[in-house]
Parts: sequence; structure tokens; C-alpha cells
Amino acid sequence: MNKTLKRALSLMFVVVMMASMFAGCSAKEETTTAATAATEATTAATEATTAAEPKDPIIVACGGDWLPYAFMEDDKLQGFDIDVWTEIGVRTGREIKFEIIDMNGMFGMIDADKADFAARQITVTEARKEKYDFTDIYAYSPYRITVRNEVEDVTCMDDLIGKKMIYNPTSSSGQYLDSYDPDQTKIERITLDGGSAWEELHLGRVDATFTNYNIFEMQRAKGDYEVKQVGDPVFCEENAYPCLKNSGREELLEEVNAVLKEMRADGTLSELSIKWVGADVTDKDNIKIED
Amino acid sequence: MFELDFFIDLLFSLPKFIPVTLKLAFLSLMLSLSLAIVLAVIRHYEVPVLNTLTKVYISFFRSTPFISQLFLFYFGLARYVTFIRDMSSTFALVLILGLNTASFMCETIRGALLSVDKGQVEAGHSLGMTNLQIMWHVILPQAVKVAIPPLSNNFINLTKNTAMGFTVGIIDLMGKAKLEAANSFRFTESYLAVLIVYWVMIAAMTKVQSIIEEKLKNKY
Repeated sequence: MNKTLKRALSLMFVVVMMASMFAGCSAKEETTTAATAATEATTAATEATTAAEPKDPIIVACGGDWLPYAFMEDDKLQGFDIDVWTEIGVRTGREIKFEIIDMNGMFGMIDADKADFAARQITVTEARKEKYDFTDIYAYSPYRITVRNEVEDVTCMDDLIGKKMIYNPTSSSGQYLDSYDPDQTKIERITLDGGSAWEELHLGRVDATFTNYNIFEMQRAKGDYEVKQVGDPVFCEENAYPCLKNSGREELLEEVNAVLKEMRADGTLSELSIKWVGADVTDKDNIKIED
Repeated sequence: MFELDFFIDLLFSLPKFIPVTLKLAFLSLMLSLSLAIVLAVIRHYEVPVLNTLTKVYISFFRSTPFISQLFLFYFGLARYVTFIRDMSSTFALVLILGLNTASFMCETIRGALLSVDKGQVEAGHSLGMTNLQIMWHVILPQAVKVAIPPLSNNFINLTKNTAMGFTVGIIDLMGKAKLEAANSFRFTESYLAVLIVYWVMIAAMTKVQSIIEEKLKNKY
């Protein structure tokens, strides 16, 4: 390639990048305006219910990466958890501020008092209960063993003895594995941090993982993974929203719980669950496991 | 398999997050560079007390992982210090990244200061110049030339370290790519796209570096 052509090409690339940068900037402003409009709508609702004094907003730290609970599509934060909180905002007359943050930082936000609650299909675990107060349970997630399609000889935990499992140590799967295999002699554990259990399993780096029955097919299809769920559910997660213990949020927690109860009673919670998850997962007995 | 459409869409939608990353990098650079110059001068003249403190500072920031510094500050200390709690994540990242990079840059600059021959300092003294005058008129102009290549190394590392922003909630280039990857389950496409954007961005910075070097070459 001669020098002039090379220069022209690199110049072109830079121009394209700059152009999309600026295009991006203006697009961003538009989304902000849309967001502001949404906030204004919420604020309007707030004013209607409590004309006297505006209540403090609720800050919710969420992943933004978890389909269909809290995820981003077309630069818009959406999902089951997002809709539940938006509704809580309308009913409590409080503005809901969502903070999108990496999984690792989500609990950090609560710990640092920078967020009131966290939302990302979070499980109630014994370890977490020591540090956090949870709202009432709003969803149940049965977890099943997941293996590659060609695996035929795994149907229960004992079939996995001597094999490699990828898991998140702080979540329900960690809690379950600790009770199933407390001395860590049966199953070789691979800790998940920042990566994707789906990828690792699909690529054959591990033999199994646990996946949520309710959203298995949705996530599997999206990544086109050649994996399947087998056997009965091994444990069922109880999902709720945590806030920091002894942080003066007792009243707020009661307020949120009252609204969650109301939403459960009038069917809003089930409706939102069906809208996003495709089934009513707010009641444990409603979940029917089918292959 | 590899979804070309998704990849190309992302390749053109990611650059709109370049300003976020560049802003973080530029602000951190300003902080780290000015702090590093002060620290390097302290080290160079072995200013009593301050020299020891600087050594501890450099040792701490160079020997511990950046992510642990950031988390201790932003999440850990926030519980006890209201000023940190109310701090924006951008400010916190710029501050810690600036402090971190300053420790590396300080050593870079100190090395550059040492590269100027002692004889010139003595010559300066014989002309009745003060230490500060010698630093400003004799040593610095020559040291800058030596310092530019390693300093731009530091700057490149700093720019890439801004990718840690999403762990404290800043949606920068890397944060956007992570979100895209997680939501689409398309890891290959997302990370390849973000790599290319970083590459082009930093290659452009390197271009600026060589222009500066070229300009300085003709002096002295």
C-alpha cells in the first residue's frame, strides 16, 4: 500500500469514529431526555399522592446485565426487577433512581450507603441475611443441573462426583454446594468471577453448572448454547431485594414490603412476572417443571 | 456463530463511549502528572521527611492492585467518611487512578531527571543559579525529552485502567462492552469490538506522542 492511500484510509477511519462519537453524544442526550420525561412522569405521580412534601428517592443498584430481570436493550434499562421497582416508586410516591453497576460493585454500593437496595434476581442466603435485611420474597427460582447436550449419564448430584462444576460462591449455588459437599471432596469447584458459566460449560472447560429453570431457555437460546437441564431441581432460590442492616432503613423496608404485599394481592406481581419471565414465578406452587 | 451484523453495529455504537473514557483518562492524567512532578522533585533533592513519605506513598501504590485500592476507597472507606460516600464514582475513579499512576510516573520522571549530567548542575551553580533555576532552565527541558516515551507508557496504562470504571458504576467503553456481552451472550463479538476501539483510540494517542517527540527532537 502506498503512503498516501494508507494515510487516506486511516484518516477515513478516524473521521468515521469521530462522527459516530458525536452522533453518539446527541443520541445519548435524547435518551437522557426520555429518561427525564419518565422521571417527570413519576414525579408527577409523586406530587399527586403527596402534594405536601416530596419523599426521599430510593436508589436501587442493579446489574443491567441479567436477562430478563435487569438488563439493557437499546440503551434502555428494563426487566422484571426494573418494572417491580418502578411500580414500587409509583405506589410509595418516591422517585426510583437506578444505578447500573458491575456485579462485583452491586453489594458494595449498599455497603457504602450509596444505594438503598440492590436488584438482580438476588437470592436470600444465610450468609447474606447476617449482613442485609431482605424485602419479602417476590420470586422463586428452581435451579437444575445443566450439562452439555451430549452428556447422557448425569441426572442427579451424585452423578457429578469427581467432575468439575462452575458456580458463584456467594450465591445460592455456593450455599447449596456447601451443604451437599461441605469438605469439597466430591466435586471440583471452579469459581465464577466476571466470566460466563454458559460459555465455560459450552466450551467444555467444566462439566456442569446450575441454571435457573424459569429463564433457562431464554438465556440458552440467546447465546445458542448446546447445553441442557437434567433431573429434578436441586434447590429453589428465594429472590428478594437486600438493604443494609442497621442502617436506618427499617421504615423504608416496611413501606416497600407493604407495597410488595399489595402488588402480590392485586395480581400486579404475577402480571409482571408473566410479562418478563414468561410464567408466574412469584408463587412457588405455580412453577411446574417440564422438560 | 460469529454474528457480523451484531459486531459491526457494536463497532459503530461503542465509539460514543470514547468521550467517557477519554474524560476519565485526561482528568487522571492531569492529576497524576502534576503530582508526579512534585514527588519526583522531592525524591530528586531528597527533601527530608517528605522524601520518606513519598517513598512510602510510591511503595504502597505500586505494590498493591489498583482494584483493591479503588474498592477500599470507594466502598470500604465510604462507610466511615461521609465525604467519600457522597463522592461521585467518576471523581473517585479519577482520584484513585491519578494517585496510582502518579506513583509510576514519579519514578519515570525521577529517572529522566537523573539522566541529565551532573556537570550541567555544577555549571549552573558556577553561574550563580539557584537549585530551582537549574531545575527549571537546565534539567527539566532536557528531562522532558527523555521522559516522554516512558510517560506515554504510563498514560496508555492509565487509559486502559479506566476500564475498571464499571466496577464502581461508570458506563465507559469497557462497561458498555460488558453489558452488551452479558445481555446478548455474544462474548466474541463484544470483546473483539471493544478491543478494536481501544486499539484505534490508543494508536491515535501514540500518534500524538510521536508528533511531540518529533517537535522536541530539534531542540537541544
